[in-house]
Amino acid sequence: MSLIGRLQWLFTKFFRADALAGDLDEELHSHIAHRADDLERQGLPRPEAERRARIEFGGIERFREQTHEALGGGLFEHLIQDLRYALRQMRRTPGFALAVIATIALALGANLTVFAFFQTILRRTLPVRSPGELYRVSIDYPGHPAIRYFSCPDLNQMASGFRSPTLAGFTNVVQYHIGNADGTTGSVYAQMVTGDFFAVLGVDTLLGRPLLQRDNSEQAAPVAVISYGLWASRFGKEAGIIGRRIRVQRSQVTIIGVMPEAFRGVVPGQRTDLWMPLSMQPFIGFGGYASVGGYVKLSEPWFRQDVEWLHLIARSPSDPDGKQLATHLKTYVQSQINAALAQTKSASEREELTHIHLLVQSAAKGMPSLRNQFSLPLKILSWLVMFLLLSGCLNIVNLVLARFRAREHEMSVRLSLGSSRGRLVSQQVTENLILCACGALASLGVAQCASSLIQHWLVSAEAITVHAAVGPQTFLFGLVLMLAVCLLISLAPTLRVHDLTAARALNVRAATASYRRSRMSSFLMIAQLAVATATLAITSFLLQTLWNFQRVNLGIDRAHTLSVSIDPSAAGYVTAEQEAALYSQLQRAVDGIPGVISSSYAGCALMNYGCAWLPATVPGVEGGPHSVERNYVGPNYFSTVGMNILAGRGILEADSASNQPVAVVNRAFEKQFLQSESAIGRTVRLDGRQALIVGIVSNARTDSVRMPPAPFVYLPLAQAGVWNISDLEVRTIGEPASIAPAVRHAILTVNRAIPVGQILTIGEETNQALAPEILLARLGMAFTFLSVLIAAVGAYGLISYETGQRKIEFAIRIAVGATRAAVLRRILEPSLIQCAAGCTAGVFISLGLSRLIASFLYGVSQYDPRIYASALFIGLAVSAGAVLLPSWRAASLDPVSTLHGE
Amino acid sequence: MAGEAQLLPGTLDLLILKAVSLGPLHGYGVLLRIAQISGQALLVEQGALYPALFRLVRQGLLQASWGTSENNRRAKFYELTAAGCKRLQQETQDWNRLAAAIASALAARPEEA
Repeated sequence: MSLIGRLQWLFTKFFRADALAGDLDEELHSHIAHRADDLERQGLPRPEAERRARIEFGGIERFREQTHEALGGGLFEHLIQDLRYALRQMRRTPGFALAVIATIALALGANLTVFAFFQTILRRTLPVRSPGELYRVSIDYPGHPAIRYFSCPDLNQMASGFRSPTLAGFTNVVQYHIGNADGTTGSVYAQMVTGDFFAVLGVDTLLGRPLLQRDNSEQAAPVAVISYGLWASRFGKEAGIIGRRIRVQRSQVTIIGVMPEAFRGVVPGQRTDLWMPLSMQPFIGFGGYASVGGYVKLSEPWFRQDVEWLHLIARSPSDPDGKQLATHLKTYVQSQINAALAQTKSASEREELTHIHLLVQSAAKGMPSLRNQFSLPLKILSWLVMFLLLSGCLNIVNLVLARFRAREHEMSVRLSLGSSRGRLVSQQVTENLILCACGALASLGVAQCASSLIQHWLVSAEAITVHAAVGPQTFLFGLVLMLAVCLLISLAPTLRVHDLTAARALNVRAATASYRRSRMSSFLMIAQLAVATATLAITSFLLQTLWNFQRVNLGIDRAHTLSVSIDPSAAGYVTAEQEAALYSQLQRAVDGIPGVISSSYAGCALMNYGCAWLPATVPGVEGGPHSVERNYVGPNYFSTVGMNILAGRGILEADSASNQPVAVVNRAFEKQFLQSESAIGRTVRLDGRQALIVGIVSNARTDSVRMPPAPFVYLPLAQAGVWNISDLEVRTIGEPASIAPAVRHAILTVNRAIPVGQILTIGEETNQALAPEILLARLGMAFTFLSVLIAAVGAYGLISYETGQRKIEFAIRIAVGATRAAVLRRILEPSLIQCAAGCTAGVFISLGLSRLIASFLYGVSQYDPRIYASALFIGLAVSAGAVLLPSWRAASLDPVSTLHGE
Repeated sequence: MAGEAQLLPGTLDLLILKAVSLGPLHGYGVLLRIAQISGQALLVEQGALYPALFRLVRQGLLQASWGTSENNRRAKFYELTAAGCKRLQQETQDWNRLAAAIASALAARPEEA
C-alpha cells in the first residue's frame, strides 16, 4: 500500500473507529443471516436456523478481535481502546479514582521528598574538576572529645614534599559582621583558607580571580572571594563588583572574585559567603574552634604558631584509594608522634599517642559533617516513607479488589462472549497505570512543596542550607516507584481474572449468600496494621529521643538564660580598657530592665560547640597534661547561667588584672586531675600562665546538648590581657522572649554601632542544635499519622464492604432469633483476631528494625518495652475502632426492612 | 467427513483470491465458493474468514462495497483489484511449482536416489 493510502487507513481507523466496528458487526450479522437462510431452505424452522447459524459461527467477540488485529496496529488500537475504557471508568467512579490518586500522591510525594534530600546531602559530589581525586586528611585520635585540627606549620611541613598544589587548609565556617551600604551591619558566614585552596579544589571563579598563594602573606592587601549567593543577595549581581571594598569586622577588604552558583563551599549544607586568606586572621579575628598544641600566644598571629585550627583537603590524581597520598603524609605525622612520645612521661598519654594515626578519606562529596549528622535520620525517614507507600499500596489493592468484585459479573459476561483474558487484564492494567501516572504527577507537586517547606524550616532553624530540588534523578526514582506501585496493585486483579470463569456470570448472586473473607483481604489488613504499628513504634523512639534531649539536665538554666551574641570589636572597642568600660555600661543598662535578675559576659558563647581546648597541668599532681576547655567569663557568670558553685567562690569583680590570677574549675576537672581530693588551693597551669583555683562549679553541658561535660577552666576576663566579649548572658525572671527586645534596645542605646546577633534562650539554642532530631520527629509523626490513617481506612472499608455483602445473612439470623450481641461477635471475632495479629507482627518488625536506629537513640533503650507496648496499644485501639464502627452498624440493622428491601 | 482436508497455513488467502476472481462475492458466498470449487474438500471456519478478508482489503488486493445479495439481504461484496489479479497469478504459479516439486519428491523411488 502506498504511504498516502496507509495514512488514510490509519486516519479512518483512529477517527472513524466506531464506524469501522459497526461495519464489521453488520457484515458478521449478514453472514449469519445468509447461513440461516440456507439452513431454513434445508427445512429448519427460522428461529432454530438462526440459533444453529450462530452456534456454527462461534464466538463473535473472538473473531471481532482477530479481525481488528488483522486490520493492523491492533496493539496500538487496543491501547487506545483501553485508555478510553479507563477514562470512562474513572469518570464513572470519581471517588475511587480520587482516593487512589490522593494516596499515591501523598505516599509517593513523601518518598520523593526524602529521596531528594538523600541525593543532596548524601550523594551529591562537589561541583569541581574530578571530585574523585579529592581526599580529606585527618587525624584519628581515639578518646579525644572532638575532631583533631592541624596547625599552619603542620600544613607547611606536610605540603613541602609535593611540587604541584596538593594540600590545602581551611578553617571552620564562622559568622562575621560585614558593613552594609547604609551603615548598618549584617552577618555573613566566612571561611579562612590557604592560598592554593581553590587550585587544590579545582574550581574557578565566575568573575575575577580566585585566591592565590601571594594573597596569603602578611604583607598582602586584605582580599576576599564571595559566593554567588552573596553577590546576588547583597550586591544585586552588580557587574562592577570586582575591586569593591567592603568592611568585614573592623577591616576593609577588597573583593577579587565571585564563585559560580553551583559552588557553595566544601561543607555541604553549610552556607559559606566569603573566603579569605588565613593571613588575615590577626586583624579579622577568628571566632571558631581552635586547640593549642604547645605553649603559644593566641594574641600573636596564628599561622606562625602551633595553633590547631585547620582542616586539610588534598588532591591526588591517579591514586584510587589515596594510598600514595597517605604514604607521603604518614612520615611527617609519625615524626610528630615520635617527638611527642619523647616528651611524654605518663604511661597513659604514651598509650594514647601510639593509637594516633592518619586518615585519608575521599572528599569527593565535600566535608562529612552534614552527612554524619543527617545520614541516619535520612535512612530512618526513607524506611518510614517506604512503609507509608507500602501501606498506601495495600489500601489501593483492597480498593481495586473490591471494585473488581463489583465488576466480576460484567467481566464474566464478557469472558463468556469470547473476550480473551489478556484483554481483560490489559484493560485493568491500563486503568491502574493511568491512576498511578496521575498520582505520580501530583506527587511531584507534593514533593516540591514538602521539600521547600522542610528547607525553609531547616534554614530558619539555622541548621543547614540545602537546595534539594526535584531533579532528573528524583524523576527517574519516581518513575521506577510508580511502575512498582502499578505492578503491585495490578497483580491482585490479574490473578483474579485468571480465576474467573464464564459460569461465574450466572451464579454471582448465589455466591453472596455464603460470603467468606478472602485470604488476600485478610492478608492485606494484617500487613497494613503491621506496617502502621511498626511505624508507630519507630516514631515513638524518635519522639522519646527528642523528649530526652530536650529534658536532659544541661547544668544550666535553659528556660531563663538569654544568650546575646555581640561584637564590640566591630564597633571600635579594641583595647581592654575600652571593653571594660563598655561592659559596665552594658551591665547597668541590661540590669535596669524589669524582669532581669542578673547579667554577665563571656569570651566564648554557650552552645557554641566548644571553646578553646588547651593542655593543662596541675603542679604537684602526677600525670598530665590533659586537654581541658577554657573560657573567659565576667563576674556573676555562674549564677547568671544557673551553674552551682559547689565549693569556694565564683569569679568576682575583685578578680582584676592587678590582683592574684584565679581560676574556677568544674567537677569534671577536679575528677580528672585529683580524683577525690579537693582542687581548691591548687594551681592550674595552662596557656603559659598559672592561676590559683578558688572555686569548684557543677558540671554543665555548655558546648552542646550532645557532648557530655568536659574538664573546664573558667578564668576572669579581666585577667585575660585582651578582652574579647562575644557573648552576653542575661538571667531573667518570667518569660524571656518578652525581655529579649528590651535587651537589644538597651545594648543599642549604649552604642548603636554594636552588632547584636540573635537573642535566644539556651532552650532555643539547643533546639537549633537538635534540628535533625526535631525534623525527624516532626516528619515521623506526619508519616505515622498518614500510615495509621491509611490502615484504619483500609480496615474500616473492608469491614463495611463485608457487612454490606452479608446484610441478608445478618437480617435472617436476627429474624430467626439471634441476639444482636451474637451477631456482633460473629463479625468482630475474626476481625479482632486479625487486628491483633497485624499489630503484633508490627511490634516484631519494629523490634527487628530498632537495632538499626539504636545509635540515634538517646536515653531510651532499643528494647524499651514501654515503647512497644504503647505502639501496640495505639495500633490495637485504632484498628478496633475502625472495625467496631461498621460491625456495630451491621448488628443494629432492622431485619424486616432489610429483607423487604432485598 | 473423510473428504475434508486441513488447510495449509497461508493457503487461505490464495483460496479467497481464487474464489473472488470468479466474480464478486460476499463473505458467506466466499465460503460457499471455496467449498464448491474444492469439491467440498476444503472447509473454512466461518469466523476465521473475516480477519483474512480484512487483511486482503488492507493490502489492496481486494476491494469491498456494500450491495444486495441473491437472498435480498444487505451484504458486503468483495472483488479482485488489479494488484489482486497479479498476486493471484503469482501465487498460483508459486503453488504449482511447489506442488510439482513436492509431488516429484514424494514419487521418488529408492533406485532413483
